[in-house]
Parts: sequence; structure tokens; C-alpha cells
Amino acid sequence: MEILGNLFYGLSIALSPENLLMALIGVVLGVAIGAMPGLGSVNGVAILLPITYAVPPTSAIIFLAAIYYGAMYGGAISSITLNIPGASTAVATTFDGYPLAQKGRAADALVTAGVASFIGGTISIVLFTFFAPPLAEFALRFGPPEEFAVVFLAYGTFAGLGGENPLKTLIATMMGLLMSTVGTDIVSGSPRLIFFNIPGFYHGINFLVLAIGLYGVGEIFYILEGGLQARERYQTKVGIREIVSTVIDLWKYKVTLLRGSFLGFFVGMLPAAGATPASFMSYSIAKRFSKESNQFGKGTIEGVAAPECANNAASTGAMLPMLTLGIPGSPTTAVMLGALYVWGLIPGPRLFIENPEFVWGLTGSLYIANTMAVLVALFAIPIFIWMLRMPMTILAPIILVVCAVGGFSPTQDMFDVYLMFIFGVIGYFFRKLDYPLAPMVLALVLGNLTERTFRQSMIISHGSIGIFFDFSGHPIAATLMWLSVALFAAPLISLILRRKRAHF
Amino acid sequence: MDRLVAGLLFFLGIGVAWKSTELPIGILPKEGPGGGFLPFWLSVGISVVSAGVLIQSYIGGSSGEDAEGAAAGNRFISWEGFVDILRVGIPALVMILLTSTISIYFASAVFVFYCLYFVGRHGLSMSLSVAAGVPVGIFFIFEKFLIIPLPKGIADPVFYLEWSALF
Repeated sequence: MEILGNLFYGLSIALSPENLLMALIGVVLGVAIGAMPGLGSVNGVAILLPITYAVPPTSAIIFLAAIYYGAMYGGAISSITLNIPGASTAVATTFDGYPLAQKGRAADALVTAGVASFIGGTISIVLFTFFAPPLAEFALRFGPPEEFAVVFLAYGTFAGLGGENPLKTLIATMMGLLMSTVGTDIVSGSPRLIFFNIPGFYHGINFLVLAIGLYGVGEIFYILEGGLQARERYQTKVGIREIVSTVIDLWKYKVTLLRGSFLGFFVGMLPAAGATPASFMSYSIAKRFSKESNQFGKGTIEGVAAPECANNAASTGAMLPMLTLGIPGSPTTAVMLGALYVWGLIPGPRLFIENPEFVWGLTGSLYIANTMAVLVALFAIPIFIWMLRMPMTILAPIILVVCAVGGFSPTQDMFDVYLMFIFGVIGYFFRKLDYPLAPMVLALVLGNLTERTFRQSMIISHGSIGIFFDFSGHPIAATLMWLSVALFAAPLISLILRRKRAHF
Repeated sequence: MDRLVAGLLFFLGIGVAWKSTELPIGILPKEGPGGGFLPFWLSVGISVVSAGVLIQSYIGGSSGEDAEGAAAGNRFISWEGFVDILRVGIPALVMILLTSTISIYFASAVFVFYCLYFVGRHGLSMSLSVAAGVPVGIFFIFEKFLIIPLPKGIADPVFYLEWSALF
């Protein structure tokens, strides 16, 4: 089959020395960052993105994907040993992970997390390999109205699925879109929204500056607020014996693992919903269908296996729509998508045709990164636990310096560093007030695309909005648009339903 | 605080809407929407929705934050938390502002040293070594490996000599 041929081609690229090195470094950094409380894959990818400028895009995406994977493994480490989730993707792991540690079974929990993550990753990568080309081909039929409808759907899913307050999600999205318009108008070429005539605005607001500001600086502020004290932690050693015995134990839960992996992959594929909701869903479903459901929450291996295989599967799933349709499946892939645009790669079927080495190199590398990650995560656990000892007072300034340099790199303009700091402050306030950050970054990344496709569609239709809802002329666009409308309306409808029920 | 931010956003929206009228905001006959169309309606949208958030905060809307907030004494941030942020945040800001004059290397070294020694109360040798290590690390990663020049300010001549010596 053609797909297998492409896969072997991709593996050969992934196995080149530079790409192997990038994958290894990415995995190690990813596990480290994921393990650190407060920092997750999205922060790691955002902060380390500038480093990818020196390498070709294929190596760069391998690096970022390896970080993404590593973080899924690493998040479990602090969840289990400290009861502090390493990232939002690892919150569900604390439910049974920490009780296991308290019972003295931290090693079992850690190994379970690692092996379950590996299984979730492997299954999802295979699914990815076979789903990607057909999906890309489907996207070939897209013209500007369809492209706009897909982007609109992305906004719809963020509005419908993300955050409790739809109004705040809407504000965040609109702010991101607004920021994307700063700079030069794409159609007329005239300067737009150059506030106070500051020259720094002419090159627009760089998505990396926003991402590093919100997810790097803002996150550090948030962590600093939590105080700088150390927490009680559980020491543990992981050797071959523990690994083998846990693997044998896990065979009991193969259904849970399979279910979690498939669930994770499909949830990850949905735009906006990423590893975090996937892990929660997998946990709840496992609890409902388990024969030992009363053990959940008190420390059962199954309670660690379910969320961990799902979050790894979801991160793979999230990359699928990012590459084939240009809509990110998760906040982390939203940042990666921005990187794609920076490298001049347009996601979609063209990417598969014009840059097969990129797509298949990435796919091949996912198998490799997944394997590396499980080895690193399992055998380097003592190192990471030692690293968790490093207090925030050392890490915070270093990370802030890296952020500042990272903010400077894209445009060599100190103004962007000031902007980044401002975004950090905004990010902190937004986090505290429940304004979701991901829609803002997403909107900034997709903003130019949104505007271009909207205006192109309007030109085609001579100014009529109806083109997006025209089932006869553009059935794909119309279906997607109505789906988006439904998603936008969903929170409103559920609010009304809730009120009605309360009145009875 | 929620109301303050919502109010700020409201006025921000109006301000940006005003600024976007510099470019045509209507739908031009042959070209489709004008340049100012999107920013204008987006900022109007932001004002409208933030007004909605304001209203929501008064009638106890869906965010559910008021209930917890009232129970916890309605503190947006504790005094200790605020101070913790400022103790690192203000020096960070100072570092960024100083970068263009004294170069990122000196600025970051001073900043890291300050944070480690004064805020973190770590030992002198530890603080000095990390403070020295960070600029060196950044130099090698960004200037040598990525070949991205970093701001050097008045220290430029020094680095030019070192730069040419390394090649």
C-alpha cells in the first residue's frame, strides 16, 4: 500500500542523525518541562520554538512533537510524586496516582503511567498514519468558502467546548482576531491599527510574542503567586523488576487501555479539545465500566492507566487536523500551527504533495519519539525527581530570561519584548479571571487566514453572506457553518435549559 | 476585579473601534469589505460582550466565580501572592528595560543574580555561578548556534572583539 511506502520513507528521514538528535533532546526537554508543576506541553513548545529557527522545518517539527510527547509522559511524574499536576493534561493522573504513592506504590504508578502512555501513543500513531492521507485528500475539495467554514468551525469548537464562560471565550477569541489585523491590511496593503505610531506595530503582532507572553511569562507569574515553598515528595526507584511486574499487571486492563487510546485519539482530533479533556473522559469512562470502580480514587493502577494512555493518544490526534486541515486539535498544536506558517508551510493537501518529507518524516519520527520517551521517562525518573527539587526561585528567573530572548528572536525588535511582558501581565489576569488563553492564540494564528478567506468568499459571492450557507453550491461549507452555529449556540442553550430546570 | 477588567475591555473596544475607522469600514462595491471592516466590528463586539460580562457579574451569571469568591472573602489575590509576583516581576521588567542599553548578557546576569541571592536567599557562590552561566548559555545557543544577534547596547565593541576572536 502506498501509505506503508510513505511510512518507510518517513522512517528513513526520521532515523537520520540530526533528526534522531532533535527527537532525543525534545523528548528529554519535554519530559522535564512536563514534570515541572505549572509548565506543560504548550508552554514548552511556545518557549522553545525560537530554537527551531536554526534547523530545517522537518527537524523542527520533530523537535516540537517530541517535546509534546515528552510532556505527556513527564506530567505524570509530579502528579504521582507530589500531587501537583505537571500540566493540565496530567490532572486526572493525580486522582489515583498520588494515593498509590501514599500507599508506597509510587513505582507501580510511574511505570503504569509510562507504559500506558506508550500504548496510547503507539495506537494513536498507527491511526494517524492511516487517517492522515485520506483526510488531506478530502481537503482538496476546499475553496475559500470551505476554508472559511473550517476555520469558523475551529472557533465554534473553542467557544462550545472551552471554558465555562462563553462570553469570556468570545472576548478572548475576538481579541486574538483583532490582534491579527494589526500591521498591514492584506488586501489593500495600507497600514492598519498602528497605535500611537509606534514603529514596532508595522510588522504586526507576532504570534510567538503572544504565545511566549501568555504561556511563558504569564504562567510564571501565576506560579510565583502560588508561593515558592517546597512540598512533600515521595522518593522511589524504578528498576527492571518493577517494570516487568507492572506490565504483567497491566494486561488485566487491556480493554481500558484500548478504549482510552481510541477515545483519546478521536477527542484529540476534535479541534480545541486536546489531551486534557481526553484524559478526564477516559478516567470517568474507565471508572464507570470498571469491575473495580470502587477502587478509583483510592489508588488503583487502572485509574492511572486510563488518563495516561488517553492524553498521549490525544496529542497525536491533535496533530492530524493541524496538518491536514490547518485547524489545531489542541492549544499546543495551535502554537505548532503558528510555527508552520512561520516556516512557510501551508497545512492541507498541498503539504502532503509538496513537502512529503515533512509530513512523513514527522510521522516516522512519532514512532521513534514515543519509544524514546518511554525509555527516558522510565529510566530517568530519579533524575527528574531530583530536578523537581529545584525551587522556583532558580527556575523562574532563568525561564523569564529565556522568554525575553525568545520574544526578541523573531523580529529582533526590543519592542516585541516589551509587548511580550505586557502579554504576560494580561495572561496572568486572564488566567485568574477565567478568560481562556487558547482561543486568543488560536485566533491570532488563524486571523489572517480567516480574513483572507472571508474577503475572497465575499468577492466570489459579490458581497452576499449566503454563499457560506448555500447547500447546493457549497455543501461542505454549509454543513460546517451550521455545525459551527450549533456549537456557538450550545452553551447558550444549555444555560437556558439549566435555568428552566432550576425554576422547577 | 472581574468588573474592572470587563470595564477596561469595554473602553478598549471603543478606542480600537475609533482607531480602525482610519480605513474604510463599509463593504466596498467591487472589493468586498474594506480594511477597517474587521477591526471595527471586532472591537465593537468586544465592547458589547464585555458589557455583557459586566452585566453578568451583577446578576450572578454562569461563570460561577461570584459564589466561590464570596465564600472565600472575595479576594482576587492575596497580599503574599502579590508580593511574590512583584519580587520577581519588577526585576524582570527592569531587566527588559535595561537590555537595550547594557546588553541582554549583563542585564540577565544582574537579574538572575538578584533573584537567586536576594529573593531566593541562595548562597553567594551558587548565585554567582548561575548568574554567570545563564548569559554564557544564551550566547552559545542563540548567537553561535542560531546566529540570531541579541541586543548588546553599549557593550557592543567588547563583543565585536570577542566575536571576531571566536572565528
